[in-house]
Amino acid sequence: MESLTLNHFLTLSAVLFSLGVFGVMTRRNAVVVLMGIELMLNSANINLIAFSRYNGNMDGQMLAIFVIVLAAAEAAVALAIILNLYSNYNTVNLDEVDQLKE
Amino acid sequence: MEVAIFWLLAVIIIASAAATVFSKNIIYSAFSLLFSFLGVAGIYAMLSADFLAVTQIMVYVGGILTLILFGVMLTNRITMMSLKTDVFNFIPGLTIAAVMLAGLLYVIWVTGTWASDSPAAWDTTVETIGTLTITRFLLPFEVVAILLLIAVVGASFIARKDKQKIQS
Amino acid sequence: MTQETLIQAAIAVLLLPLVSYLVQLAAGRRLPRQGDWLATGFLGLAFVLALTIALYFLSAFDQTLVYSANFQWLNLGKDWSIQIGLKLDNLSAVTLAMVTLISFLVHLFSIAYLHDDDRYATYFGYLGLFTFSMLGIVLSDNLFSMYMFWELVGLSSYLLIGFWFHKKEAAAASTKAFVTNRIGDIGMWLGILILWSQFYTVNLDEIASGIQNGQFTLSTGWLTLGGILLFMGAVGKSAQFPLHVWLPDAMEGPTPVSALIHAATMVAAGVYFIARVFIILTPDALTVIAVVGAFTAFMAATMALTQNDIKRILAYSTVSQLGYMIMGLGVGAYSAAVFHLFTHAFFKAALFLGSGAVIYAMHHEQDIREMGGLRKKLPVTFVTYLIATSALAGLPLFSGFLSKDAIIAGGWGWASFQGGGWYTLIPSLGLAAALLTAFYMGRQVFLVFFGEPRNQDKFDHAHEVPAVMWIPLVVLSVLSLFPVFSLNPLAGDSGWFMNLIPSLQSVVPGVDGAARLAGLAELTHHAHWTTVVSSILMTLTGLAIAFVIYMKKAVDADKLAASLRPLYLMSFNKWYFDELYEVTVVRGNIVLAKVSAFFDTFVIDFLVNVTGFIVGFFGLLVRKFQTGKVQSYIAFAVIGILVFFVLKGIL
Repeated sequence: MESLTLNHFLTLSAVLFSLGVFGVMTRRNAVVVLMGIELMLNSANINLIAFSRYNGNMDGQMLAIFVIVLAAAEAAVALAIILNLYSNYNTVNLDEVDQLKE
Repeated sequence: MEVAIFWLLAVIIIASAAATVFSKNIIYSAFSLLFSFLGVAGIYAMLSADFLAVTQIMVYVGGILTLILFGVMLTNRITMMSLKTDVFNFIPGLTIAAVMLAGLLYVIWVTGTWASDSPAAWDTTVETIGTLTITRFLLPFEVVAILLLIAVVGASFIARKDKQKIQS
Repeated sequence: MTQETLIQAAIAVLLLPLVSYLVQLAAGRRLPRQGDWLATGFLGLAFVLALTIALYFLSAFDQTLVYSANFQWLNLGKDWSIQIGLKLDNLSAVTLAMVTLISFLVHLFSIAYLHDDDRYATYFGYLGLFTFSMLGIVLSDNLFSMYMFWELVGLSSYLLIGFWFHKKEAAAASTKAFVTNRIGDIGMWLGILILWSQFYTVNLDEIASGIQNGQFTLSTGWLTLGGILLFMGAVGKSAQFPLHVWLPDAMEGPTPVSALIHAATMVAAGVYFIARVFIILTPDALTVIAVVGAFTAFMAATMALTQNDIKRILAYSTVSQLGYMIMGLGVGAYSAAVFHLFTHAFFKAALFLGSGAVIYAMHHEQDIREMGGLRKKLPVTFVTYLIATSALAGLPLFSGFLSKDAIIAGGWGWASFQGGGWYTLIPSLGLAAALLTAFYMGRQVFLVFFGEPRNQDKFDHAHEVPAVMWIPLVVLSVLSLFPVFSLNPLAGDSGWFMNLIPSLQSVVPGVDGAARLAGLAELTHHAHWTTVVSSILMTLTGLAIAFVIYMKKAVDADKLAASLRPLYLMSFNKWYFDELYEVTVVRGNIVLAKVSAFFDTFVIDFLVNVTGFIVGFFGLLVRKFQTGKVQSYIAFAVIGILVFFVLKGIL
């Protein structure tokens, strides 16, 4: 069994990211879309930390910390938006919220 | 050993992430996400990012996931409506995701020339991170603090129940 | 006085009417008496200053005295810059005094004539604007600012002719005047451009010296064309054939305006302009000018014979007299033409103001067939009118005789200089016009002031006009007497005026300017006495015919008209020019407009509609992508990124 390389982590991150993209694009429920976004952010973090580890540089980890902070903020605001959406449209299904078309 | 742990974690992460996005039940999605986050935390630990691994668990599992679960509860009437949710644009979405994956893998495996040697692992990163936070990354740190404040205020403002609006 | 003082005084003269205009426009209605005293006072001050300048030049009595000042107004890159400035020489100095004097008198006259008009303040404002523009033309030392003031004169005359715009005829007349003038101005502008293309300067002196030094690289034909194009501007402003049609219609404006614009200043601007560019005109261009002037003088005189509106008769007479001046310039009798410009300005302003007084006294009756016997009712007006008429008709002892005689003598001199032949037609037309002038002016005076009143009711209500009206008449008629200009009542060229402003020598290459000047002067001198005798004879004949027909009634006017019916109708209908233009120019324009409208509707609109349709069609296609679903948008964005990366990888 060969040892671990950077490519292992990058591949894992790529798969996770693609799953996140799929979730964002196809799920009707806004909450699940939010979950997809969290997956994408996680995959980005894996990338950052992996590069940080293999370059022997702490900057990637610092950036990952900020990404986590932003993810927390984003989740809070997004959920607030979803709640508002629900109170206005009585649904969180994104295909029913298409007033942008007008 | 290390490789085995990596593959184990990778399988856990990908399987639960797939469950998250493919499951028709939102509650299942949310709990799969929990495992996905935990797996990612494990990966962080493998990459000798111990502080981040802990942060991941605390923030994602303890904070964001809880928030998401609240979102699920508040926007779906559990007693009246099934928590089922379906997908749409399944085939196009899958195609796009597959193409994206192919592109990324192509870049990683074929065109990428990454440093492949593994430097010595760090002991602990907490001290370094602490130092960096108040030296080199002081400004982003403060900005992020303000951003969090704004996010808190903004989120509570947006989510506030407007009594007149909710009637309609 | 130093040069600076003179230039400053000239600038003050120029700006005073402008200030008057601005004040009247901004605050005229709120001033006591609507500010008429202010406008008149400003003009009076301007006149005093202008008179000082003129007296300075008179006392110096130097034919070559020139003061000028200019500055760069616009830099067009390279060494092309437009210098504008003013030039004071004998001609502009005395013209300045003449214009301000007449403008001042017209202001004075208007106080009574328009006292109950609704837009009294505005009227004085417009008068100020007009005077400012006219003084600008007089003072300009370059073609560019001259052109600007030229257009301002056009604008302010438009405003003044259409002052009573609620009258349909006045509105139409002002438009006609403006459009007709524009036609001439286009030619003038093209002429300026021809000169600009050669010298890259608009300064008159620089252009003249450039031509003299042979820097005009195009053929002489182009210079002739340029001169004729410049002359077109004068044709428009000075109402020469074929653009004379606007002037009689312009009589719809208030009568003092007719006196100011259509007798003394605006129409004189054309003559003044030609006098300014006189030295660069080629002999061919001058011949064209002479022919146009002589023809206009004759034609307009025939038109005046049968008109019944007192002001229209004067209007045609003005066209005719302007024809004399243009003809005088064309035949090289430069100083005679400018001289006639002056004498005519005074006596024609007197006539117009006199007719205004008559109209005022008759309660706005303008038809001479309704008048008669007014000499008893309006003694002052009658005397001044008689003096001015004598001057216009060309009786000896009056100023008009001196200048008209000099022009006709110049015409004979020119004809023999050119070698006789058909050239003698030009002064002959002038002589014929002199006869006709005497006749129609005699007719007017006999019908208006002599005989029995034909409308007893209006006659009974007539009364002498107030002092502010008759004082200008007296001043102007005194200035129409011969001693003002020359102590010898039979020879204008011995007077101060023609000596102060002598004829100019042409600078056109290929023409021996000095020899031409001397030859013309010599031959003119030979022709002088024959001209005096013949023109006196002509004038007396004309007056005699008028006396026989309208005073003694020996011949019945109506019967005469009936027996000469075709000629009568031709004169009465102004040679059918209005009808001709109606059919050709106006209809032609309408047809052109209709063709354009057709083109616009069926070609331009079609193209526009097709464009709109194509855009709409693609919009319909693209609209399918606007689902309003956020996730589709994300999908498109992701596809876009992918395409970008793929292309980046391939290329």
